[in-house]
Amino acid sequence: MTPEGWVFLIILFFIGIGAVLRNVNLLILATGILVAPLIFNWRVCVANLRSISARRVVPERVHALSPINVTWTCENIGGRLAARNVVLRDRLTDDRDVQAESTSKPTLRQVLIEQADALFRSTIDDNEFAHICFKTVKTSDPDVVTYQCFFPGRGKYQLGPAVLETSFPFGLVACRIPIEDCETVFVAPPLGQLHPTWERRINSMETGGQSRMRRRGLEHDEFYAMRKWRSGDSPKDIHWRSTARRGVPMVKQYDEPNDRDFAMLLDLYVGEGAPRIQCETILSFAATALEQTGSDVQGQFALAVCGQETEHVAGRQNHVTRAAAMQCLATAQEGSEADLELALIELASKVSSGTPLYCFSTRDIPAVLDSGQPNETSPALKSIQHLIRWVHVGSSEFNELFSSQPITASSTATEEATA
Amino acid sequence: MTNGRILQLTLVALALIAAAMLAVSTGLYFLIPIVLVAGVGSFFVTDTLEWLSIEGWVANLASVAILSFAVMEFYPADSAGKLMAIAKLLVYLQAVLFFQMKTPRLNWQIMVLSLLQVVITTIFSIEFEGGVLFLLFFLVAGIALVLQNGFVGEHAIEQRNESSEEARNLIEEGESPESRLAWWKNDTKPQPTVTSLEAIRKFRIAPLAILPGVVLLASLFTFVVFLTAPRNVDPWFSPITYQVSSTGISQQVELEETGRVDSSSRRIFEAQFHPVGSSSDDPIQLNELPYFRGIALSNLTYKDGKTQWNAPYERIYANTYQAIQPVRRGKGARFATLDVTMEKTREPLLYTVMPTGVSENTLRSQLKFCHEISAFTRCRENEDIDFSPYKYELMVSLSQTNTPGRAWPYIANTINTPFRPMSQDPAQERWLTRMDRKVYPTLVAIADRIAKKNRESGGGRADLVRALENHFLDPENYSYTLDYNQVQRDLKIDPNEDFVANFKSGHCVAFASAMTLMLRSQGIPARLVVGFHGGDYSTLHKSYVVRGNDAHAWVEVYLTEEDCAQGNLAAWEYSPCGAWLRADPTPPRPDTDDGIGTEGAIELARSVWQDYVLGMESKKGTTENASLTSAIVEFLGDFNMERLSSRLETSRNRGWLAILQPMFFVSLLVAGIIGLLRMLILKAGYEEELPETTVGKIRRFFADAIGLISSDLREWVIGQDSETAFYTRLTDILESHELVRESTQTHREFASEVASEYREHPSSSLISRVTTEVTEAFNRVRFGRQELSPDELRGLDSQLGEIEQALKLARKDWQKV
Repeated sequence: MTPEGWVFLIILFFIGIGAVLRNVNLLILATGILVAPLIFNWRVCVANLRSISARRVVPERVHALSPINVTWTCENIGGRLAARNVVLRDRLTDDRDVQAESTSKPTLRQVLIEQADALFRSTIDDNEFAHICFKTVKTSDPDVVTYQCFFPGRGKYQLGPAVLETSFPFGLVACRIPIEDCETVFVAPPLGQLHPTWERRINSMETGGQSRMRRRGLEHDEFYAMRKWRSGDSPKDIHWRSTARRGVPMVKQYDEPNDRDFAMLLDLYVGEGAPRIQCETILSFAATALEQTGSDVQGQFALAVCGQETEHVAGRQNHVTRAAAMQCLATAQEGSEADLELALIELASKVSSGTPLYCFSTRDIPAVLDSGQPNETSPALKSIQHLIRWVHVGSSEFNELFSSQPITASSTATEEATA
Repeated sequence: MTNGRILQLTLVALALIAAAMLAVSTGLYFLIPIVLVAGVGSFFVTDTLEWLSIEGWVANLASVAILSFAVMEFYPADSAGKLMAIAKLLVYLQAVLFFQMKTPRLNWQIMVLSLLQVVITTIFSIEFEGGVLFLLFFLVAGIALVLQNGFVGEHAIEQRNESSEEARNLIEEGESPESRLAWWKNDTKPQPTVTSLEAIRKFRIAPLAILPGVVLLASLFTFVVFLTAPRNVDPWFSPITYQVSSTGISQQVELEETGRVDSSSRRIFEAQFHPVGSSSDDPIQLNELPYFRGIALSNLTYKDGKTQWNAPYERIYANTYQAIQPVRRGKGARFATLDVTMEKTREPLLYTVMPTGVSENTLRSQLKFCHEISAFTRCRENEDIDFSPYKYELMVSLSQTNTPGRAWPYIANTINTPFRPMSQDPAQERWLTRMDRKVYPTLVAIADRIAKKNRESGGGRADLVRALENHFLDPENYSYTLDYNQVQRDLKIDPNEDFVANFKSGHCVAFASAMTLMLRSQGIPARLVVGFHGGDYSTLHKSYVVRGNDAHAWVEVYLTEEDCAQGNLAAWEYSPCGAWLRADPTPPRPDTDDGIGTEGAIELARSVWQDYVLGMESKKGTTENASLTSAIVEFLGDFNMERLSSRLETSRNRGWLAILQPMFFVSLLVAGIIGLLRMLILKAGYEEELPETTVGKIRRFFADAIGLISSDLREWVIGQDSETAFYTRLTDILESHELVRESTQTHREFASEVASEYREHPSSSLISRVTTEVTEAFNRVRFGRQELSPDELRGLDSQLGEIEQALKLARKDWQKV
């Protein structure tokens, strides 16, 4: 029963009692008229929801501050009537809230207050939920509704459980069915803007021995596409059959394999002179770099995130590794006691030898890692010290690489106007 | 037009209807313009143009002020005044609400206030016009609720979007790029917004298609509740504008009709005749339509030289009232008791068929007879009359053939010597023959001519009366009409003279007045009498229902004993003092029942409303409550259902059947109605292919109807369906292993429950797979209207065989495994 339904029922009760006690014929008539919508509403609601099901589709890659579209498809399979005004309330929670809820058991008072609040609370105030409405869900004609979701910060979020609810036609009785299907969404840090300096640096960097070996091998580049012959193309590359068919010289285009390895360490140190915002800048940079890595890159990738805990992600550079890395970036927590030495050694072990180890940090390079400093280090560290490329986030070097402000249409227009 | 806009218009209409009902029933007509201005004004000023909107605190302040005003009005008032104060309070509060920004809650409050106004209206009771508004209110309220249902959803989404966008803008428009990254300083809740809000807001007519169904269902519930709930005729409150102060009988007649004579179908009273001394006490129908005599207008006066008939109230004193005498016994007469139930009236006048007298149950102390007006009253002069339905019983004389008397014994108006002929009371005779012959030259000339002819033929006074009566009844001379618009009146002369000389067309009063004057011109004491003639005889209730349009006027002529004997009156119709002979010169009304036109239909609806909704309970003479049982039994009365009736009534008194009986009927009728709706109205979105055979269609029809109540019942109805026999087999197998689908479970849920139950079973994958496949096949056949190929059916059959074998392994065995 909805709050309106309770009010209706109370009025109906008083009218009914008054009608019987006072023998007012018209009130009896009114009672009869008012009972019908209540029962009709109940049965229509039940009939509407009996055959309804819904499923959610969330985009694979989600970044903070970039709206995503969550799509709900509602189907009415086997229903005899078109369901109308079906409201779906999808719960959106930060995972920390979920954990806090599950760990602390609410007191009876809290439960009672919550129940009473839920009874009389307007759904408007209920900002934990996304409300969407399926106006009409006909049989064998699914209705699709999309809502846009904007995550203010990175982290682990939970979408669901959702509730399908309808109080059609009168809003006096509501029937709901829970959709227990929950989806965990890892919201990666927001995307920024990588400057061309970064691209140049990546392209010019030395690569590991294994990849050099691979480059020198007899492995031919993979066929990519056909295109018209241009001046300077080798006649060997002309594809004669296509040329005959098209009437113009066509050449085969080969995709140059990019199998360089890439290793990156993110030092999320928080301390004096190293504010938390710099940690977020590092994470945003890393997310942007990962996002912009082309699908053609096939080398090894290794990521170490040194914050409260040290986490490693390594593997071939593909969408699976990138998704794992994004997850890691989404949930990374800053700290001050990370063992950088160990992390670097492990990072180096994940990629080909000779691969530079890019370290982005909120602080200057510690003496123990600096190859220019005379100190006692372990042999393992010593062997990779020369590969460490330390970048301080606050430095001008970093500013040349990355800006946390994303490219927008307006900013592009401004730049063009300035040029 | 958006859904919200249509809703606002509907709410204005709803409030207007409620206010109109209040105004009609309480007489507070100024409420209508208040609501009209508030509703229409706020629609443009507040909702459409958004120029003015009252803030919440201002509205609260105004509400408190209105409440204080209402309290001041409430306390000193009587009960009706208190209710009217509440009614006004509701309207004022509603007006304030109209000027606020519309939210679902506010709309709901407006609707509730309207509903409460209607409740107050019903307490006051309403006439037919109000009844039409009453039904219209619920129709519009239904539309408003459907629209509100859509509005609630869109408003929630809109509000959510607004707050989300606000939060997003705050984050996105941060001062520096770094502040965008400082997410922990912001509200970290995800901000969802629905993108295609316009599509949600758009008004669609399709949801309203459900309303006819609700109307039908509401009619059904109303019918059942109205017949089963205890009900009586006595409303709680005396209606303010309810026409109760008059029974429709005028105590003064003017004949200056120039327009249409209004006639109301309002019910006046109901009468039953029970024979006395008969083996059966069943009410009887008279052989002729009875004349329910009211009052004699014997006082002829002239106003501006024109005739007026009045009741001689100035001649009535306390000593002119007497207790009613017993009815005279006479040869050839039989007695019957006349039970009359009057509608609410403040008039003391009662109606009876003459001759009349007391019966055992007559309230002698309350019923009086006034000689001067020859009328029954229900109290003494200057005594207050209760405002309530009034029942009384009198004894009347009838002929052996159940024909009412044509005359009744004369009683003089002298209290001390009531039983003497008029010849011994010259003052009375002069009074009843008084007239100015000069005013009516043509009328007198006609009377003289007829009297002369009567004398020449040797006729007596009774014969002259009949001759004059026949003169008026001759269709070549006069015609009956209620519409004086069609009549060329000469307003310079007396209406009676004009009637007989010129237009010769009129209604009962014109005829009765003219004949009375003709009789008086011949020196015969006569008086004009008003009362009711006939009424609708209900064969169902065996009673005469007398309405306003049965009002009639006729003539009473004094005859001496000799005249009576000469006129062949029966012995019980006169006394030695003489008799009052009834003469009715009015021609029969033209038959207007050629078909029910608009007016006829409205009249019919009005009388149904009056009789069966507001009016008295159709069961006569008892204070029993109406019940479905009695209604059904009465309808089936011709089939000798009395025994069943008494049994059912006894059961009802025990209590349990009183609950089950209406529930049973409600369930049955609801199922039928919903099925009908599904077939006729809720076709949208339901593309089910019906079975080809008629039997199949009928079965599907009822199954669908029942299916809306319970899906299990539906399956039971079409359970023999060979199309889904494979699923029945599966459920049988599972049932034998104590797995039964709950009524709240869908088939798929049941399948997953089975799979979960047997997850430890060695053949768990087989059980899960087969159950799922059979369920899906069932859904395809039942809901998707697909047909399974013979191969598929064979496959399902073999799979069911496998599952049956697998489940033979006892639970304890596989649990050990």
